Amino acid sequence: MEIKDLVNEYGIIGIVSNYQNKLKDDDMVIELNIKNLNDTLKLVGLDENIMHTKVKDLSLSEKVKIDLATKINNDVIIIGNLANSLNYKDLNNIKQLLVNLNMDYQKKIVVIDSDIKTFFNLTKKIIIMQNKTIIYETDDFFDDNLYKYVKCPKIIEFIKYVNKDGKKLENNTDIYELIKDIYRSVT
Amino acid sequence: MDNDKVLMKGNTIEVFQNEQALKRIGITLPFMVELSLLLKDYNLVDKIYLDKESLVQYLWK
Repeated sequence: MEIKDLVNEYGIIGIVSNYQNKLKDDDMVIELNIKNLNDTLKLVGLDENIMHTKVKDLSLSEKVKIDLATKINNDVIIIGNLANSLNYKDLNNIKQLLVNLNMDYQKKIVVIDSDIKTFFNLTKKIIIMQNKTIIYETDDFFDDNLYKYVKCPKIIEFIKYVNKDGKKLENNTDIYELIKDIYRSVT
Repeated sequence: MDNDKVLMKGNTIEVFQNEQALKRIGITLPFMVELSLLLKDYNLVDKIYLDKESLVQYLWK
């Protein structure tokens, strides 16, 4: 199946690969093709004062948010580098925004990141790409084969470690659900 | 540190105890620290465990 078919089927998909935004360093934010500039900046969590800043002077986190702002009106939004550029709070806000764009506005979302944690609670379909070729795809974060290609997130490593001795923790990617499950298991 | 100012200092465990302050400035806690702190809220552990082996041994002793 091709990427466009997968994103049509799943709505939001995650691709483990490298991502390079197409923003030009010498452009000012105000010169970029962002519709309803003030509102869109607010939506992605930026202050309007950033309008007169050149792309090259933006922080990594601001670049990710501006990259998203330039694409927010597209039917298919391709966004990347979330995990390495955003702090904990910003990452959760942007993930929630992507979910809302998909649910409320039927936007198709392709998230490209080298860190699989970015996709937790965001996408059900994960694709590993190398040199523009799909080398593996799964909709199961607990699929052992997935971790031949990417580093296993700590929460999954922990659950697999506990369960190898016959315990039966559920396959959670949400730490709060894991805590409830541990509570049920040990009390 | 936050905006070039020292926000807190101490040994690793002491610093990680300030979960809310760290999250407020956008710092992600290591998984084992976050898990230990949440388990502490449920009175399932009484300290922060930095490795899964000791935590699992304590929980399912």
